[in-house]
Amino acid sequence: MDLYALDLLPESALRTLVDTMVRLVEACGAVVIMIGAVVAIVKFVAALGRRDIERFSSVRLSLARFLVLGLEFQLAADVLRTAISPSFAEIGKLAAIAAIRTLLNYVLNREIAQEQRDIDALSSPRPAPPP
Amino acid sequence: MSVVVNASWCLAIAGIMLGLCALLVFRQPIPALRVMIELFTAAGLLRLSVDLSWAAILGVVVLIAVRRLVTRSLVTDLTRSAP
Repeated sequence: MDLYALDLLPESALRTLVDTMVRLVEACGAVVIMIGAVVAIVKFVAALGRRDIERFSSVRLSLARFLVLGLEFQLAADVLRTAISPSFAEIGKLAAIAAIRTLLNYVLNREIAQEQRDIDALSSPRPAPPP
Repeated sequence: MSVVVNASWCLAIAGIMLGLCALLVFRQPIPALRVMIELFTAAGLLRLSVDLSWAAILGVVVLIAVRRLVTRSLVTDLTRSAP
């Protein structure tokens, strides 16, 4: 009896498997974004209560980091989804979403770096002027 | 799916509330605007993970554009008008 790879893993089974993995990875991304947002909202409220604007900025930075991590998961799901996209319309939509997520990832990373520089500049003591 | 959509609405409402509270407490528009846009972005990303329609994609594109444009123009204006 001949056993071929196609018999062992038919297209429908492969499609189901990849679809499950896509949902799993995308759910991980959504959970990361959700947890980051909830934690940030709680910390934002605490910073508002203390009227601490520096703490407010650093919480925003941590939320941006969570968003970037969630975006990485969603981009991974997009890459997986390309394996089972049957039509050009779906591939076009996928390309648009992947482009948006990549762009947003780039923008967020730039903002995080800028914000980190600002926080470092505020927290590090300035050198004393020479006598 | 509806859980994620509801969660994204909650994040958007929290963004508006926190932005207004930050504006009232700190009396500075830039931190208030930034926190609001950050939570809107989180809401848009959550919605995009379950709703792959062109309207959702367009919404996130508009959000990124507004995010860049408004923050940059506001920072420029306030830096210029500062004594």
